[in-house]
Amino acid sequence: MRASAPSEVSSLDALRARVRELEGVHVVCRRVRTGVPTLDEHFGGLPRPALVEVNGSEGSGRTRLALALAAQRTLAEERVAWVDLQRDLYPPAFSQHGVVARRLLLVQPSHDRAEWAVDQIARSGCFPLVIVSGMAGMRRAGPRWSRACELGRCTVLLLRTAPDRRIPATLRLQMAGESLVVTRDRTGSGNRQAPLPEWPRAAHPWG
Amino acid sequence: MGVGRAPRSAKAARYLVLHLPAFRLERCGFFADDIAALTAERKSAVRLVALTPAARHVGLREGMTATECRARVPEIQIEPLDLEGEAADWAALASAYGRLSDRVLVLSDDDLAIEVGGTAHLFGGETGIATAVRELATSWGHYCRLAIADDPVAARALAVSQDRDHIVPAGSCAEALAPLPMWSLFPDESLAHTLDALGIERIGQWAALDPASISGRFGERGLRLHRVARGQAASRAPSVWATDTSPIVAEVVLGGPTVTLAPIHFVLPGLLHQVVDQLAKRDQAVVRLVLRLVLDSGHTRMVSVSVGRPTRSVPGLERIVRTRLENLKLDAPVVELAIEVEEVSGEAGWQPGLVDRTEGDEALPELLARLTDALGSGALFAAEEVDTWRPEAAWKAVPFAPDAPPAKPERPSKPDPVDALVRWESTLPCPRPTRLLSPAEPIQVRVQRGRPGHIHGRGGWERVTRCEGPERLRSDWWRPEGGFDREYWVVSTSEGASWVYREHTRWFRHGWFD
Repeated sequence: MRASAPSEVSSLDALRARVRELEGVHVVCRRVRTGVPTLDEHFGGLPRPALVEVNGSEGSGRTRLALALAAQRTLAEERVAWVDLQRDLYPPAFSQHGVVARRLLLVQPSHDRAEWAVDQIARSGCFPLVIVSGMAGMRRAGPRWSRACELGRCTVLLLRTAPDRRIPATLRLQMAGESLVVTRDRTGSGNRQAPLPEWPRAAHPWG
Repeated sequence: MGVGRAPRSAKAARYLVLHLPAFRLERCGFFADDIAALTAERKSAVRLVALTPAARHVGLREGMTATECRARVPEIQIEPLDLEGEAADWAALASAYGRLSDRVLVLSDDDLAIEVGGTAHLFGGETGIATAVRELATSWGHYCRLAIADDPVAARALAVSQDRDHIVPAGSCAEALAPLPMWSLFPDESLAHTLDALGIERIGQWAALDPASISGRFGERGLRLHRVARGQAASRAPSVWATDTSPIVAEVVLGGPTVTLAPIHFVLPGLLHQVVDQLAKRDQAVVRLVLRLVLDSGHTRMVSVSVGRPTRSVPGLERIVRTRLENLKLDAPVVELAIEVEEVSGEAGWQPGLVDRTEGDEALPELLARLTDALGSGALFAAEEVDTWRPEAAWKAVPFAPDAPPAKPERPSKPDPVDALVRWESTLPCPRPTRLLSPAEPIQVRVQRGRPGHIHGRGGWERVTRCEGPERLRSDWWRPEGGFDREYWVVSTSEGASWVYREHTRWFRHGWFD
């Protein structure tokens, strides 16, 4: 049974690739520079299209990382969507992080409609960066979102408390103090660790 | 089972404008050779507001008081202006013209517009329908002039400024309008003043100006009039046609009770085309529609669908309705389906704009419409900061308009010391947490040397490793519900950095620097 597992996986991958080929979608996942210096220098950017999982506790800096990415995208006149299930994002901090608030769509769906909402936003192609925070159980959304990312050519950044192996994340990051540690990387890039983006001066908790 | 599409109108719109310069006098039974006038109260006196030519001939003018007028011409017949009666008579006249076209609208105090592009052939062409219009006006006792053109504003200009009827061949508006005075386009006061200063008196001179220089200087209204002057039918058809206020509904009885969506998906495009055709005739766009599903059990299920942005796009509407139907759970098979337009907009509907780049990506409005419909309008928004000291009220939700220009801050004409102080305060480091707890979480704090030393968090007592503050926020004391007076601290424990405050003697955690 154990010996047959890899071949099943490869068969499934081949089947998926064939389905995508038939659908006429040729997607290459590559690292795209984010404009956030630490990520670009150490990781060469973030993969796109891809699901990127960021795990860490409250206060660990996940939101700071997401805001740094959102700031760079919105300053580049791109749109960003943030699906916030916790409903506790505090917009007055956006401008302190450099985010252009009018280009950031905040979506606060009910929990039962959240997976659908993320899927729709990701596959629309309107948002190169989609941030999802506060989603606990994801049931079977992972593969669907992965496909939606490819269709919409976007990066979906999942901010979570604990890792979930069922999520087919291309890149999985773990917050560790003031660092980001790569715990899974399907693109096989070099570095495994990077410092967290620094707090912008206006938003720095220590002034 | 199948639904035929309503035939789409292939004829270009043509507008007949009927100008009745003496309507309000004629409806009172006065003729041109009667010395008569209508009066109304203006500037604290009863003054003349409309005069017959004979009354003018004896030296009377608008604005004279009724007393002065009677003193000068004792035999004058005077009637008070009756606006309600006038409106009723206009409505009756518009209704009478309803037999010539289904689009009739009272444009102003003197003008009536009729869309004749679709019905002129029934009267032997445009000359025939013009004759029919004139005969009806004459039979009602009105002197009239009329004009037919590609654009209602152009037709009105021709009707009001010339002494004869005028039928402008399609595509020849610019030549016909060129010699007319500029006032016949009825520019607004500021535009008229500017044009007067520039010495532009004729429409031909106006049309000769470079279009690129018009928009920035004279705005949308100026641009529209410029397009009319250049013979480009730019003024949109009147949005509310007088005789067309019936509800917009399209319905179909399915071949048999169905529990699957396939038969509904099959008839949906046809129904939507019917709806969109009716909207197009009225120059309207749908904002919200209702799906009425008649069930086999005899019950009716109503499903309201918000479109998000006014539209007449059948594929767009179909996608939204399909998405909505997929999430619907029905108690019984469906036997009948109807689509009723519940809310419309006067706009012609969304189209990708040439100038306005915000409309360049059609996927976004459709996506927002789908999400709004499924999640509710309050679930999608952008955030805007609010100028208040109360942290929990420091932002508000606004519609998501990513490409709208940012609001320009107002600059006071003179330096204000309060503004200067506020600006200086805003430069101070007052970091705000990325996540705000609502309501704030009561916590226990051990204070050491006037500062938080230990915090009782989720894992018991935590030592504060770093602490900054206090930032004192005190406001709203003038409100009846009471104000607040808080001392905020940024504290760091092993759990991370958080925003805590003390109010009176109690401590709360208000947010996380996540």
